[in-house]
Amino acid sequence: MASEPTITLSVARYRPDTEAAPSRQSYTIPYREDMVVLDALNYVKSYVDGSLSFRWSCRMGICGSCGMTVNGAPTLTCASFLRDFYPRDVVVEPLANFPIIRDLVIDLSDFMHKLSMVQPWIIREYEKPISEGEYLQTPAQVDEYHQYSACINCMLCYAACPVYGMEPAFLGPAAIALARRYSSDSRDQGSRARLRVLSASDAIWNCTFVGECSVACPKGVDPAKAIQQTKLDTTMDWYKKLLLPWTRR
Amino acid sequence: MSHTQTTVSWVRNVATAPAGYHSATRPGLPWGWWRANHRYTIYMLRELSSLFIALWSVRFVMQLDRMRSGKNAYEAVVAAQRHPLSVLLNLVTLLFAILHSVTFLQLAGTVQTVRLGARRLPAEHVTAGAFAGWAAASLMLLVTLLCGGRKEGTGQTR
Repeated sequence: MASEPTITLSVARYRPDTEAAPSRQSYTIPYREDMVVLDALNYVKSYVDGSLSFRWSCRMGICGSCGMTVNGAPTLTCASFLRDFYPRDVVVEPLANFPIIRDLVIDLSDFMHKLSMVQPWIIREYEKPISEGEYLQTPAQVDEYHQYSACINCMLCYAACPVYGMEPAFLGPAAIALARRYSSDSRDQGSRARLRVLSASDAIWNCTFVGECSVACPKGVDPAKAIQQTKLDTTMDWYKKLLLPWTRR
Repeated sequence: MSHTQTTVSWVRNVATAPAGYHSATRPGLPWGWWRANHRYTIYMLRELSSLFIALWSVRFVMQLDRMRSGKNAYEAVVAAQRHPLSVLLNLVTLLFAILHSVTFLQLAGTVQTVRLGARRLPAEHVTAGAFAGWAAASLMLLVTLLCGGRKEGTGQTR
């Protein structure tokens, strides 16, 4: 009988209660063509080493929990098949540029704080009475923000961004893309408040357009586009205030 | 099934965790990170291009200033321009300037939304328009440089 095919996972481990620094641990497990990296991690957790820690939830690229660095690239592990690496080893590390809580689990506090700064919800200066009906939008108005609304907060864009790696204060791709999503929505009236956050020194002007955030995004969002468009908007706004000061509100 | 453990060196800034909190370990960018993929490498080359373009521009302004002193100074500048090192600097700067211009103009379609009436022009068309404008401006400059100026020794314009 032919022996069962196997694959080796080299997984980053970090247990702050017992270790001063991360190390790497190898696990050789049975290989099946339909397994994704998350399945392999779950196999290790269930049958080999129950102490391995990692985040996951939906297994279908919706929740954004299982982002990790797989063979050097920020990846959703539920969408990354082992067959793309087999028979080579698969190296699994936590997402780059974030503090590590344990093993493959990163600390998202910095992002959550930045996300709340851009107020990613529809802001209204006044609400019309319910009797006047819904806030209707044309397909063209939906098209203005639709791609940005696909963001699942998976943090792959932050892991891919060397600017965030060097400047932790940088507001970052996803927060700016989500600010753009709401500021581009015809129902929203909060773009001026968001612009104050976006035009600060640690926001859009920190971006030097590496463009890797848009490459890493598993949902086809283009954060680099959002950042460059916001740069253009703030520049136009500045010139408008300079040349037409009477239009200032 | 088996497992082995080794130490890794890709993490720095290991800090002491506050009591009752997790570790503040934050991976740093490793040396040579821009070699991880070709997009990072092109980005770093684009950033490096600024250095050469700045050097070339400062040298050019200094030479223009020197040329104001008269014919001898002008000829000295022309001789300096013909030096192999000067030609090499010009060539490298030209290549970097082309890289910078191409990557900048590729952005045009991404950044600029152009509408014709109610229709939004596709990003590729906007980018193609930006490249066409660049080519037209370069051609005009080339024609001006080749056909403009004064004829040597006559004081007449060509």
